[in-house]
Amino acid sequence: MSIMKNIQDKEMKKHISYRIGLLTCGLLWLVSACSKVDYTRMDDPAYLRVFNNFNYALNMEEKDNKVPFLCMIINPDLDAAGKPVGGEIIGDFLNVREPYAPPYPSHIGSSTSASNPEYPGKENVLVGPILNGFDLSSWAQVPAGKIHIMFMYRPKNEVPYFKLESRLQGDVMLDTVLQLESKEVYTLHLLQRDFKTKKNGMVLRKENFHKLSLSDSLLYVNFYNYSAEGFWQADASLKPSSNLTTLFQQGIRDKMDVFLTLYKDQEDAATNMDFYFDYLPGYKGKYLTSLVRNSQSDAVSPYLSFPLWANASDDGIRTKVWQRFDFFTPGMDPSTNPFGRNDLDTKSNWAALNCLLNGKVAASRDNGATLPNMIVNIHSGMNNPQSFATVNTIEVVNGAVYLTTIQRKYPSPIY
Amino acid sequence: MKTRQYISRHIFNLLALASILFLFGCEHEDFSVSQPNEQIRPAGDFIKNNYDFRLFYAALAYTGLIEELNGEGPFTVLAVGDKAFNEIGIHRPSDFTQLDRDSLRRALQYHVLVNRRLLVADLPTNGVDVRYETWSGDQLYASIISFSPGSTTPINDLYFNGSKVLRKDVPLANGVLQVIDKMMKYHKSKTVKDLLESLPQYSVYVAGLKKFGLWDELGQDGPFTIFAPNNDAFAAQGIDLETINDINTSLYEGNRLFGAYIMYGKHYFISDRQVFAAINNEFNFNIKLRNDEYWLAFQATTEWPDWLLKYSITLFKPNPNNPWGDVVGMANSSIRSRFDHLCENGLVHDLEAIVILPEQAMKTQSTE
Repeated sequence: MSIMKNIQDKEMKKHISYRIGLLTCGLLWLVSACSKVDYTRMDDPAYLRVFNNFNYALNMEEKDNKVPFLCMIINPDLDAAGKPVGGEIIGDFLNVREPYAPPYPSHIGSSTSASNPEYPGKENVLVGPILNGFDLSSWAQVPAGKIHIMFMYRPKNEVPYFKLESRLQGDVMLDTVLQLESKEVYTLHLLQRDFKTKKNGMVLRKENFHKLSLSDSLLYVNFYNYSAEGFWQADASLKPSSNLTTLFQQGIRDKMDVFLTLYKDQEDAATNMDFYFDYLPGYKGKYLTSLVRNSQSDAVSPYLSFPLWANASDDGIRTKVWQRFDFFTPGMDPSTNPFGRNDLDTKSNWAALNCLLNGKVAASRDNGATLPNMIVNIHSGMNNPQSFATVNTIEVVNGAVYLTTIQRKYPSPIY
Repeated sequence: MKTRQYISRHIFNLLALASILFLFGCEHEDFSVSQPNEQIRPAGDFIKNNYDFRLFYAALAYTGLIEELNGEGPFTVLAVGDKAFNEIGIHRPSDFTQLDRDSLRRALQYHVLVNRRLLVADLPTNGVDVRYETWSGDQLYASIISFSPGSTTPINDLYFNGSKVLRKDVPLANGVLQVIDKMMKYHKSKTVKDLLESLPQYSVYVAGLKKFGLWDELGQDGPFTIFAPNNDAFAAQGIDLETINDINTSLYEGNRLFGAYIMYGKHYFISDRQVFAAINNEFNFNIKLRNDEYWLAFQATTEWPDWLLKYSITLFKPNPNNPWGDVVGMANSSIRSRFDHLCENGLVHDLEAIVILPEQAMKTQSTE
């Protein structure tokens, strides 16, 4: 009997503790369920990415010029004096762009400064979906239709634009109206139109990569020359200098032929100055396209391709192949190149771009500009690394060259 | 019984002993530890106690700013040493009494940043013309250059309106003190035109600018950087007001003769040459004269033995056979207290020689 009672007591105790537990859970649920989440929604979006292509030089000549550190305001609310006091979308701290726009806005995680190398970049806004295998995380959703867009000069600090002293607000760099179509992908470039008059402008490019049927085993690249009129002709002392753009520093001529060379081993090229002999047969100085300077046109250049597995001795999982693009004035080509590898002053007749490793290590004793490899080599399941093909855009703007790699949806890893 | 007798016998002795004990017992040493002075060196007291700021203190005292500088703060005091005052002709504390008290107060307030403890580390690396608000409500320009940044022995040079900081980050109880090598000269609500007009030592240059129609625009937005040759510079070449009055403007290129000293659309402190040489390797800086083939080279150097900043400008003309051009003339200036007159629309620097003579600025006659 006493044993029975004991068991009953235990059961009872267990029961009570369950009840208390349930009650606590219920209470917690009740309390936490009260918060209401307002999901932002855009009913009819277009996808927009903005680059600030002004290459500012910190030198005597440009000391009194305005620093191209901007605030973008879409559909601004204007006060009586026409000065924006707010807006539908604010892209603040828009700095000049980085040489490399990575496939995914990964700088969000590692950056500690407010300054943003592109829009949306670090901004916490609604971004595009995965469209036909392209991850549009680097494109922000903006309302489709007619939008009023303003770019304002702002001082280089971390004070949000509308909290700046009023005398520092209202300095307009660009004020225009754009027509965006629903569910289309746009890239907006802020550019200098004329190097002499310092006239500024912009190009709104309606991208088409997501509409093309692109192969997974080919790399794609297209080229633009958005340089200002009169840049390459101008005196070297007026141009910004950078040790990463080297041969591009003086600009390239208005019409250039582009040649592709694929080399076998990017790790070797970083240390071995004889990497020139390590090219892939069939991809040595191969003519790709002709590039004409045009900072007015919003036309999309055709995508050109070359295979991911160009090196027959690769295993189909990873490759160390890297790319070199030579830009020659018509009439010259890699086989007749009159310049030496250490020449810097080519009178804008020749510029070379090496895409290898992470874009921070130059090819050994070479004066080409350096950007990251177009082939994404990354850990995937059992393979570390595995090589993937990408879709890329190369933009030459004045003395700089920029690479944008677009994120593709890759096959899921196999473990 | 015996005891009673004993006490009564010695009662007076005992009383005397007790009273002595009583008196001695009253005296006690003060054993409390002396409190540290918590008001150690607020800005005003620190300047007062520093022998090198004798004149700076006198100026602050004369204008009644000391009490406020001893206040809560935080302040950033850009202190001017006695040597810098001597360079502008102030040697005794009493010399300040000859100055207008209000303008002196304003000038001194321009040397203090209020509500800000500005340490060298607070300035952005290689920041040029970083603006700060001063106590007088006006803004000043700070530039910082870093030699070998990231190394174990980085060197930072800091300039405020072209005045170099000699001692950095001197801690104060209510802020920080930076010692600058010369007074900052800010001419509030004056344009470069107003300033030049008000200074008699530039009367010849001003007359020349007026004569060639270069004068009026100096009152506009600018900015302008003017290397103004003083009257002595012209006198050394035999040019005075009378020469200017007699000059036939149709024979000369005024843009070269008097315009060579003006940089349009630029505002440069002399120290900017040092700044950009350090951060951008710009050891040469040339700028074309307006609408002209001639160009002006602007250099600033520090040299042995005094290592004081001086500058020079050199006028070049093109020569088809010499890509470096031919020198027309060169002028040096080494009195740093006369540099960096900041106006609302630019800067005026004193120049001790001229770079072009009238005969070199003759309009080319068509010989055909």
